[in-house]
Amino acid sequence: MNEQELAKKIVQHLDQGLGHIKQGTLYKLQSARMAALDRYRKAPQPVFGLAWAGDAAFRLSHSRYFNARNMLALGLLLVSLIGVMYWQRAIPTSDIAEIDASLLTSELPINAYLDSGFEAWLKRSSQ
Amino acid sequence: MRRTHPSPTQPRLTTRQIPLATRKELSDFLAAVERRAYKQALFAARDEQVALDAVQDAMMRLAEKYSTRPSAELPMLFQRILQNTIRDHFRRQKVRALWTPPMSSLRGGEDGDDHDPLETLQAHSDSNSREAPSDQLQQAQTLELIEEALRKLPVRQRQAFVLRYWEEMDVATAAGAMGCSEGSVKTHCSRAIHALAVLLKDKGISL
Repeated sequence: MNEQELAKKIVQHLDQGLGHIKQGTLYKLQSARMAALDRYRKAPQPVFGLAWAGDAAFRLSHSRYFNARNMLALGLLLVSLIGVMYWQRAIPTSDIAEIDASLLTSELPINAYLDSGFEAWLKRSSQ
Repeated sequence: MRRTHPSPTQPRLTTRQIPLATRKELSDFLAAVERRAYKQALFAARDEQVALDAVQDAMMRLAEKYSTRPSAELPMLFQRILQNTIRDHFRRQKVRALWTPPMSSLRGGEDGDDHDPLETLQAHSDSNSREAPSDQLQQAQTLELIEEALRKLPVRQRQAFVLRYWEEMDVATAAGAMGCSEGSVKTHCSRAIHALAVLLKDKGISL
């Protein structure tokens, strides 16, 4: 028996098996078909205007990527990005503020840091 | 020789013969393919409720989004939607399995060891048919073994076999539905038939 004949025989049995599907299942299939047909849409009529804009919005909002899970992931990503930006800006500012505060509150005048003699004295005294 | 559909009230329509343009024609198409689609989903998912849900989802999406497409494309689109729906189900199941602790040990065994093909045999409305009960039993057992063999096939091989031989799609349409090349469809088909022949031979079935 060649491939085609075997396939034909198998399909004959499968077709016979379709007659053995439970009545309840057939009823559910019929109900599913009716529900699907209720969603049948006719071809849209051509209209004047910015049809592409509406279509783009429709495509975006009805895209399979536009679901709650993806929106949640996108929201989390945005929140994390904002957090990272805030953190990056906040940390250097506080460091600089601390240095400024220590310089201003120190008894040593600021000009001392610019004096090369003071730096040499500092090295010598630390040794 | 053309195959005939088992139900006399529901004439067999091949996918190539159905021009889809009106609601009535879409209804006829869905009525013609729904049983095979259900069985196809059942082979893959092995769960009646999941199979029904998959077929319903596929019908909904076809009617909602693709009913205005050229009629020749619709059978291919329906099959593609159905395959995607089944694949989505497996993905969701996989994710759920990661989060759900394994409870299989607490459940009762549903192995096929105690399964009796007679339990799935439905009484025909024409119970007084001329076929002898022994013939009916043999047919039911053969069908059960064929379906079991189909379930055991790798997914792509089963898809190729069903689309090419059960849905009577040509190679190009089947390739479109499967999202692969025509050569792949031929290869999958050939391997599927060889695997089925071996599986049925092992069970002692000669068709």
